[in-house]
Amino acid sequence: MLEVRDVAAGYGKAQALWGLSLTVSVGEIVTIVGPNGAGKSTLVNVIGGLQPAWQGSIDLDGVELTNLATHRVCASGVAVVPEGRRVFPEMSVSDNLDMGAYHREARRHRDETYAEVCEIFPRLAERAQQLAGSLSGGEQQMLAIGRAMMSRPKLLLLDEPSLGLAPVIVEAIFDVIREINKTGTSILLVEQNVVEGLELAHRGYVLEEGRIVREGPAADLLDDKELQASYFGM
Amino acid sequence: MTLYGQAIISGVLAGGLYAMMSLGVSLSWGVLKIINLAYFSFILLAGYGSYELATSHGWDPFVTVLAVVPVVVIVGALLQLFFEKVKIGEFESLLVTFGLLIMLESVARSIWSADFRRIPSTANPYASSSLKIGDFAFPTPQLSAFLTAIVIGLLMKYLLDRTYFGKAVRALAQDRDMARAFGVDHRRVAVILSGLAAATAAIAGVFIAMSQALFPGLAVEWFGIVFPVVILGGLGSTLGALGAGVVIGVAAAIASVAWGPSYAPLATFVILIATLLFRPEGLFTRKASV
Repeated sequence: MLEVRDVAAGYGKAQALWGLSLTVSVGEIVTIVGPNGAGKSTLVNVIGGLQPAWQGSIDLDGVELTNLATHRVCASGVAVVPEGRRVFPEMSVSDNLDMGAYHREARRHRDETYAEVCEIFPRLAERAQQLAGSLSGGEQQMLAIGRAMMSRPKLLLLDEPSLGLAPVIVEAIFDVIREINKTGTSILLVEQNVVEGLELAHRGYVLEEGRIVREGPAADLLDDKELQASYFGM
Repeated sequence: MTLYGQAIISGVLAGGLYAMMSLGVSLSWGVLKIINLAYFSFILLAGYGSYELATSHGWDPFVTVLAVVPVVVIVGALLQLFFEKVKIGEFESLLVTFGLLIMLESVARSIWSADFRRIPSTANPYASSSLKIGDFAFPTPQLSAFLTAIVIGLLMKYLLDRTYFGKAVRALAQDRDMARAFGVDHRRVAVILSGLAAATAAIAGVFIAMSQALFPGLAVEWFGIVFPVVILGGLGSTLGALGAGVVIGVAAAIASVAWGPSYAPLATFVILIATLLFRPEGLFTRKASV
């Protein structure tokens, strides 16, 4: 479904991604792990249209996303849950969710999707009128995911959703990701939390210094002795 | 006591006009991150446009709105389109629009000279008419400006709070990239918003032409009113601008009566500085603890 081919990108003169290719199939959860500064967020930003690709192509169900104007990417079926959540702090929870349903197709199904999101995150429904900036970190993460779901994406991009959250909240968030995936949404998850991230996934990639160095079924990566030594601290 | 009562009335009424004058700068700065001084020239040129139509063509001063507003809206939208094209930054915008302001002021000077221009009383029956309640007078131009400001303020408030367009505007102000990631076309929103802001500036200009004499130097004099109102009201806040306009208007009017008109700017700037020290986010904005 998602095909990233030979993508390079960076900031100014600093190149962060070097000819990177990956795929996500329909209904799949794919996790990308790697150390800080490996280019994980850059990858999310490039696929989500927040940052241009210097070369290569990104294609979702035959629709070319490469260097599409940022505001058109969402309507093509990609929704971002960015690093640091980035909810709109001075807007209410329900207005934040409405922003997720901004593009035309999503707006048409707004009420229906809103009900679905509230079912998954009852906490958001309780706090619908509260300002997003006054929510706890975990609630903001739920809101960021809810906002992305409001756009009815085919592919959900999640950038470090566990960052800065207590373990039990992380577990809850990961359960929700699994649940969303069961309804047919494909997931591309970027995580520093290597073990949990891969346990959730069908397949995984290991990113180092802007290049894919390993890929395979998530279970194989978890079993890999070499990766265990360098990443999992086992 | 009547003197102070009348001063407060004048101040409150002036506040509505101040709010309309400030809305463009406030929205442009708060939402689009462009400090657009061209709004001062829009107000001035709208004023002269209204003056010209009323004086030379015999239009009723109120009716001149119909001609002046569309022209200014188009100019405001085109200017924003230009900013989008060159991707101007916050600081550069200040320099560029300051240049533009000086240029347009010169244009006004070459057409209408540096002399005072006032719509003659034969063409402007409103200048000397007023609503009288007891000992107090509500001059027609100021009163209608105030009522218009309230209507505009409520309409803008509704637009920003309730519609998808308004949510997009607020989202852009808070996190531009995220708003775009969810489908907000920055250019489209910016051009429409600038058009609305320019319309408000033009309406303010028409009311100014109706109530006082015009001269090109006015544009720069307005800095001393508009910037305090923008900061006090909170960047991008419509009802904040209205509240701040009233605060500034009343403070200036009371200072004028108590110590003389030359103390009016002192009062406004004392309030401005106190606000910057103690509530830099503005008097009328609620802030989430992020």
